[in-house]
Amino acid sequence: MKILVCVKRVPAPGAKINVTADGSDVDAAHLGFTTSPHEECAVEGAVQLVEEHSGEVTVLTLGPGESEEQLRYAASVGAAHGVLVEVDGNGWDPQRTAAALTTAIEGIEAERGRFDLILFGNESADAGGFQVGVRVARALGRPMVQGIKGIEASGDGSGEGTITARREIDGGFEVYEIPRPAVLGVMEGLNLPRYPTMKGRLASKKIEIAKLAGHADEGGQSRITLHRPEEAVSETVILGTGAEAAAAVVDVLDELGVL
Amino acid sequence: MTEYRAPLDDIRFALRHAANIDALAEMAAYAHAEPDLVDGLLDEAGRFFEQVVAPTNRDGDTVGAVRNADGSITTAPGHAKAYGQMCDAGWGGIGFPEEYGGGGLPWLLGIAVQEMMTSANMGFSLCPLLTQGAIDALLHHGTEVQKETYLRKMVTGEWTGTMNLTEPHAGSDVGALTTKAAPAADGSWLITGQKIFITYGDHDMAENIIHLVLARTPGSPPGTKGISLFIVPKFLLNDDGTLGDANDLSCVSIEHKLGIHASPTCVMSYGDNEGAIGYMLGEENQGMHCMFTMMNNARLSVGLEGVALAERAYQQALAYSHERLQGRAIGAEPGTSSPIVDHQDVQRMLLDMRSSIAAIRGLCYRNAEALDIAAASTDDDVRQRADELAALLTPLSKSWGTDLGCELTSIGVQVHGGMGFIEETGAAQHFRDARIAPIYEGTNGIQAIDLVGRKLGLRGGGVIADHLGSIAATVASMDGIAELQSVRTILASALEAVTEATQWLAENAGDMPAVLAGAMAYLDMLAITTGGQILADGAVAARSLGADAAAERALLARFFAANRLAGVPGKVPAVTAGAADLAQARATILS
Repeated sequence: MKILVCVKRVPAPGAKINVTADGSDVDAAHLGFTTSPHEECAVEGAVQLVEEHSGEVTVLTLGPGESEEQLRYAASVGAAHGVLVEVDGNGWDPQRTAAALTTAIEGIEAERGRFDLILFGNESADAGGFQVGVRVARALGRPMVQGIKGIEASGDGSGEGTITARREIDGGFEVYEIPRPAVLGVMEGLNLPRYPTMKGRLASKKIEIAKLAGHADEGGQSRITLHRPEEAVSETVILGTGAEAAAAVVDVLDELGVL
Repeated sequence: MTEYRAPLDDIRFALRHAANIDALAEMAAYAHAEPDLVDGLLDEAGRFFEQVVAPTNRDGDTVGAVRNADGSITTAPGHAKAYGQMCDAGWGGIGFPEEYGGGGLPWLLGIAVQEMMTSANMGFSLCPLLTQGAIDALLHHGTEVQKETYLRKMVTGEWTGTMNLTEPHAGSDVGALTTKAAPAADGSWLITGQKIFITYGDHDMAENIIHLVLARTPGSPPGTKGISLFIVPKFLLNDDGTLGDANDLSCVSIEHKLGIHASPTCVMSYGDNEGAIGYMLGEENQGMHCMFTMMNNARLSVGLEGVALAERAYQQALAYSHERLQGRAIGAEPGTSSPIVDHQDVQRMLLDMRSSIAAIRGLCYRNAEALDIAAASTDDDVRQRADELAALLTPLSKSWGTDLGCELTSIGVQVHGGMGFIEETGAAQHFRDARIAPIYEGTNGIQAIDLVGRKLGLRGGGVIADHLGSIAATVASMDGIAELQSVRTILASALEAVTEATQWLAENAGDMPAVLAGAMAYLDMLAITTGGQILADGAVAARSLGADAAAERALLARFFAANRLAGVPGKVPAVTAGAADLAQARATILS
């Protein structure tokens, strides 16, 4: 089973994000970077499928040269190949990113054969556009389902056959059966990503990262400026101490409508 | 209770500026230990031990390992699962050869990982630690067949290892042991006897346990010259390598201990029925030699336990000192309570912990680096010098590291005040866990005897002379650096005192009681002075790492110099007192 996972280098979730003085970009000076969490699950899901059906996992990213770190991380947990579409600077909106990835995927498939399954994260942890996976699937003419938290492959996972994908809805699951080759957007909760092993880390040093230049026309979306919202400040009001506080507590409960 | 955070910045600093891991990577044997790989592995190991192992520490202490009615041992909740995950991740095999499934990386990096594992849960860490010792013995003394049979599974951790030395009347005096080995017709041996204090002698974390057992063969000479070493698996192996029958051995009880409750300390009985089947490892009567092969590594690892526990105690004390409001610090608003970290004496305690940890971590890492160079340099002279340095530093790492482990975890309790004495706080666990380390793997008293009896005489005194010369070079390296002048002065005084004590020991070498009477004080002098050297080296190196790093490292060196290093000259009288008072006391006060 040949699986491609598209990943994105993003600022570590939970970090305090600062904006550059001119508001044009995120100030990366003191930021740690990681793989978008949905995509960590996508890599894990792909590795599990390959462990079950045999085959290999390729990871693809579009981003600055440092994104190689995310590809090697994926290699340390089981991906066999890495491809970096190297681009600099801004101006890579979802439309343009998807166009460049589509070109890259077509190139890789022309060389090494078609992928049975392509996985994206449902949305990236930084921009959260929800678009790239859908656009790539559309451009490749393949079926696509977003929001996936369960994947199975029929047969040996290769060639003709189907992918069964589950997604959560209120009070249950929707189950899709789609023909291969297919594209899925997966979410955290698909699995619990494994830790890289010591051997995996050693192996990840040795894999070759293929580098492609990123070419695509600019998309229709452009960034005007970024700004950081004011942090919400929580306030504590001391209503009183000891028995004296009882009346105030009653007032509050009354106000909340629980009395 | 606080969470454990792997102190990766401090570990990296010690790897690069107390030792020099990047220089090791220039040796052919460690060529793949490039900086980005080292950093990646440290990040990953840190995350693993923080998230997977550290949360098991409390259950390890409060529930501990339990011996069941059927004689089996159940480790504390979560331990077997965490151990399985650690084997899957491969963290136990970093420093072992790639041909057996290890990482082939420097022992130095393995020591850094081991520090994190031990901070996360010391009782847990002893299982991989003992396995490492057994692997070492097999690597050096096993036949090819023995290596093929056992090593791969032990390097991955699927099988664990033990070392069986101690018997009820043979502790520090191993030569007194009585366990017997009788030859069997098929070339194997039948082992009978009882061993005590066997760490992880039985447990539920792995499918097989490979015991290494010291025993006497028929007609062997008395004392340590008549001891042989045997491989005695818990489960015998079928011809195809699968697990077969249970061997004739059992854990008959486990000890109730002051600390490390997660670690089952077993009384092992061999050969209650027909005899436990064993296979000789190394030559007959060479058992002690085989054991000593792994001694440098094991003693260093135990010294590191002091670092690891002190680090965890420090993290907890520091966090508590910010939470606990008590008293009004000088300069604080009237009517307010200050976090205790604002009080000068608490700052002093925390800084004592922090600077001493940096010193002993640096010493242990430098010791590990010397072992790596001694194992892999292609230059005979370099290899010889590194081997000598490792021999000299090992008793210092073991003894000073473990004594500091006790002292600094005690300070950790002190920072907590009365709450530190209450078990729920968790500070006391580190203190209790630390107390074993000065005792096992050769008591600290034995380390001092080893230092003055064996190590000072190496190369006709040339090894200690070289080491003292390197300290003099550190003193000189601080010339003209204003912020390190107090360090320079105090280190120079300490060096002078150590030199005087070393000369006295050399001049009185014929008076063994006098030398032994001063051995422990001398070990402390040399260790503290070497610790001061390492902090000074770090402070000088940090001057090229930016203003913040330079200021921090200079501060640590200054504090350590004023608070610990300055006491070194005061120990000279204890070294040079001779044994007359001890002899007189033995006849009177101690009679």
